[in-house]
Amino acid sequence: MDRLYKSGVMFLGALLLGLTFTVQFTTSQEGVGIVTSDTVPQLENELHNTRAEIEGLRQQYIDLRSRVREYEKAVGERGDLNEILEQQLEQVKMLAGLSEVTGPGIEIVLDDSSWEMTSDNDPNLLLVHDEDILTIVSELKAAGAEAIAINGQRIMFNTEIRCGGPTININSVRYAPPYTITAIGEPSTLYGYMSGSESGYLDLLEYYGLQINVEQREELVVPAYTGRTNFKYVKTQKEGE
Amino acid sequence: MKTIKAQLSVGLVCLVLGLMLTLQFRNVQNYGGILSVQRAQELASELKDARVQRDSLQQRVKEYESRILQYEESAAEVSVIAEGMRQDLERARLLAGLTDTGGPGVVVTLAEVQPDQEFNVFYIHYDKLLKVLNELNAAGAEAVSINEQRVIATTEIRLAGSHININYQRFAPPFVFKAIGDPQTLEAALKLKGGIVEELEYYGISVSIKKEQDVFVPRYSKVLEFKYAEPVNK
Repeated sequence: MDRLYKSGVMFLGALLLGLTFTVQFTTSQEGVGIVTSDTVPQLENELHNTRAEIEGLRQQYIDLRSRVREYEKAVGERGDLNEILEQQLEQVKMLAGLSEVTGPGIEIVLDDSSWEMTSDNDPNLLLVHDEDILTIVSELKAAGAEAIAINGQRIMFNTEIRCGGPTININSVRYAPPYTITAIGEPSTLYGYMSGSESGYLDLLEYYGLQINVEQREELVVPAYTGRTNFKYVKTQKEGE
Repeated sequence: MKTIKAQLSVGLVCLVLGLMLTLQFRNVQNYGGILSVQRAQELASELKDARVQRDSLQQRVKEYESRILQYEESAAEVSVIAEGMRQDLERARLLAGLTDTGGPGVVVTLAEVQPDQEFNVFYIHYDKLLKVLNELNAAGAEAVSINEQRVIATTEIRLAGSHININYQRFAPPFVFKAIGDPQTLEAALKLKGGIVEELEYYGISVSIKKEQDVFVPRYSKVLEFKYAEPVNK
């Protein structure tokens, strides 16, 4: 009985050892150079992005297909594309920020702190900075804002927002506080990204004493960009070039 | 004598077993173990399939796009009005980010000098990316992409969990900016004394700036449309 028990233990031990060996071996064999702690998240990101790209391409494909039909129809029926080109131009100009647009959204008014400047206060914390506005604008975009202006200056893809002393330059035009940011989009979503949620950036600024007012609006107007658009360096690249 | 031998061998087996278990455990802890390997392989094969699908869709989209351009060009050949509109349309599409573009400019790469393996976090925060973009814009950039995402008027740069969202796509370092404009001016603006490059390097981020004669900036990769904003009728 005693011997049987002993050889049983030995057998079990040997079995476990063998199993562990095998598992260990396979793990390290596959793991070498392939799997590190951040491979999985990285692959997950890439997969997510590729799927989003596929979705975007599908939409583009559907959109383009119907446009090709419109073009064919116009050429067949009218013999020219003038009407369609005009519609296209209006649409693309709107998307680029070259036309005045209207819609629901939010209006944010930001002003420097009303706190007294004392030796205890860091005066830097009491002012509205370019970085604050940059973050607010980026958050508004993340919340789905379609058109944004600051003090009536339309935010384009290449708009800079930069401190120049006590003022801020936007599209090379100088502005002083208070700053009024208007954004068109779904009002409650825009509001939610700005205030009340854990990432509400405006709450943080308010904590530092900046004067902030946010209001949801049923109708806002965001003006067209009127600055320079004659580019010197960039060229459209067509297929096959 | 025999018992001692037997006991010794059992002891030895236990020792080796213990060692193996510890090793295995540490391996699993560090690398996520077999599950993680399997997951990575699964993801890699899904990614491969998705890329094939994407490439074939891209091909079809390009075919339709060139058909539309052909229509527009042949219309422009016979009509001065159409030619004017075609040119305006090309410029508006460029501004909206709806076309592939090229030109001289800079390629700026932000990478972490020492990635944090332990917590898997990174030091390149969204606000640093916003600042680099802002400096490029102030220096007259005419088209910019970040990790091949075209920057358009509605492009967000935002921390979302453990990654940064750009055009609602997910990214982690390194970040590669491609900007079209005057290469000298763009580089100088970033390298300004007390400027953004110094700031980034202070935070342990390495910055490489390459001036190039032909930088390619891709188009915005989705359909761009507004749901809330409408043109004001004049």
